[in-house]
Amino acid sequence: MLSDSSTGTLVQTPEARRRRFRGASWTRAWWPSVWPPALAFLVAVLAWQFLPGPMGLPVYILPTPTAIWATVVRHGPEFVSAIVLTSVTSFAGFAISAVLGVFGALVMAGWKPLERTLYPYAIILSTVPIISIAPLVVIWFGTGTLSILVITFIVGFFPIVANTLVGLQSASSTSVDLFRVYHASKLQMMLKLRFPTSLPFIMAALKVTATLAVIGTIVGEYVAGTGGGNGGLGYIVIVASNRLETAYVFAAAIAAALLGILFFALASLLSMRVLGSWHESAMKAEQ
Amino acid sequence: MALLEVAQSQFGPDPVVGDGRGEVLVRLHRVAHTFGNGTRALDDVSLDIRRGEFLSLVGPSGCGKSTIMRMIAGLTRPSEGEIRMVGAEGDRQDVSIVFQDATLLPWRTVLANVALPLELRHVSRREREAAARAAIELVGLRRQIRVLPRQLSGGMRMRVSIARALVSHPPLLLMDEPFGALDEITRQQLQNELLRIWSQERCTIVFVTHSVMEAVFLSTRIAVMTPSPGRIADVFNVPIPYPRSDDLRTAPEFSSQVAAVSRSLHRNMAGEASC
Repeated sequence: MLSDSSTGTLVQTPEARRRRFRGASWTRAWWPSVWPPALAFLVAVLAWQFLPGPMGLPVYILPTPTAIWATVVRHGPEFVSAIVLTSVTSFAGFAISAVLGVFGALVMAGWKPLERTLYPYAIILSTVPIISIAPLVVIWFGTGTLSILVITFIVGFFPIVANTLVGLQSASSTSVDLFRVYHASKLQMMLKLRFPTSLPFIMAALKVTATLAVIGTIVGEYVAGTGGGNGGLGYIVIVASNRLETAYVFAAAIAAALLGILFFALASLLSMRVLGSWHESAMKAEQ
Repeated sequence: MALLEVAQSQFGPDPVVGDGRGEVLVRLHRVAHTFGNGTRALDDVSLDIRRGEFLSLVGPSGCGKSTIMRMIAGLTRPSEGEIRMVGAEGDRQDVSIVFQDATLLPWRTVLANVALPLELRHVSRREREAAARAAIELVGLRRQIRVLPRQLSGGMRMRVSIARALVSHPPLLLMDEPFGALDEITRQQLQNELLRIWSQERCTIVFVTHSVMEAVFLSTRIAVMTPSPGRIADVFNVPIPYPRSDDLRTAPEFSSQVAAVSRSLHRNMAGEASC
């Protein structure tokens, strides 16, 4: 066969070529799904920029992208601090609801009568529109950050409890039998079988509630936001729309949307980290 | 462990105790079972499982084979009669089970899956990983030790499942249609390996199957069961010596054994609309 040195180069070359080819095919595979929406975005922004003027639409109805950008620059620090405040509140509320939701579900699942009693309420409470109880929260906790945090928390908590409970029940009966044959304790069954089995359900719930948390915070800021340079994006939307500062409303709405996307991306990243490859591929195999 | 070694020395180097004369390990005495919905699953089953034997339960689906397994494993309590584990080491702690579904935990590597039974008994990490490595070696998966179950074929998953059942060196191994979902080639391969493992480990195996050929190839003894309600109709000793190889599958003595067991199955099914 070949000598060591020549094997080295021969082995490297096809490997390198394959790597390059894989890179090329990756772009080729993604390009068709990237450029149509990108083009649509460009066309929409250009139309948005150049059509309202000739059509006679006043700037308080539909401000152009450049007008929105100008507003962002003008409000600079206030706008940035609003983004930071909304992000921090959303994240804190989301984190608290995730931790307490999962923990609450574990406690409920650990004692069957408790679960049977509370599970229907977790479902019911997770379907209550947050906007309908937000004013109540303000009555109880006053205007300000605490109320906003509570509203964000409520939005996330019940879906996470409900999903985690379903996940904790989803271990297959044979795997439960297996643990029973080996005399697993209730705690072992929970930590080594039921909790890991529920992780895909928990992660799915976190992805949904991550975006819900941003909505919850904005709703909270609508009803409980305070001003004085201390309001979040929701507060800006309310105030700016009252003043007919439409460009600023747009800026806040776009920022809120981007925040929601960012939160979703973070939750997806967490999900990929936690589940690794075992669950995604298991789902593919089932399909 | 020490007790197990004592037990092994009792029947010496030859693992064949298929004549039904070995020491009784589990005794089922007039066991009957009725499910919650009133279905009579088992009726008056008496059976001795003897140390070192390879006992197969053969019968059509719904004859209560699996119910017997679940009872021996302690997963189901018989509604009548009793099941006694004989001998000091024969308590339920030392029963292992293999299901038709490999039942591996998808988030655990092969090593961690196999080590699970010991982990549940709080065996130290070093000890259980050493035992798991040995068991994995026994089923021929040394190279897949760090691999996740999804990366394995069906046959390999079943090997992992068998390794997990063997990791604690159980005196009694229950196998509930373990090869039922595998293709014929893999199935025969695993049958050969199971016989090798059985003679190496000197354990007692109770094996549920609906394949007469599988039962004859593997077993020292075969109990033929009939459905609704499940009863033991006949018990056959299989006088074919071990080690048994693939050549046996085409041998005349094998066919005549298969024929005898099949006749018993059909005779006892007469008059039953089972399918």
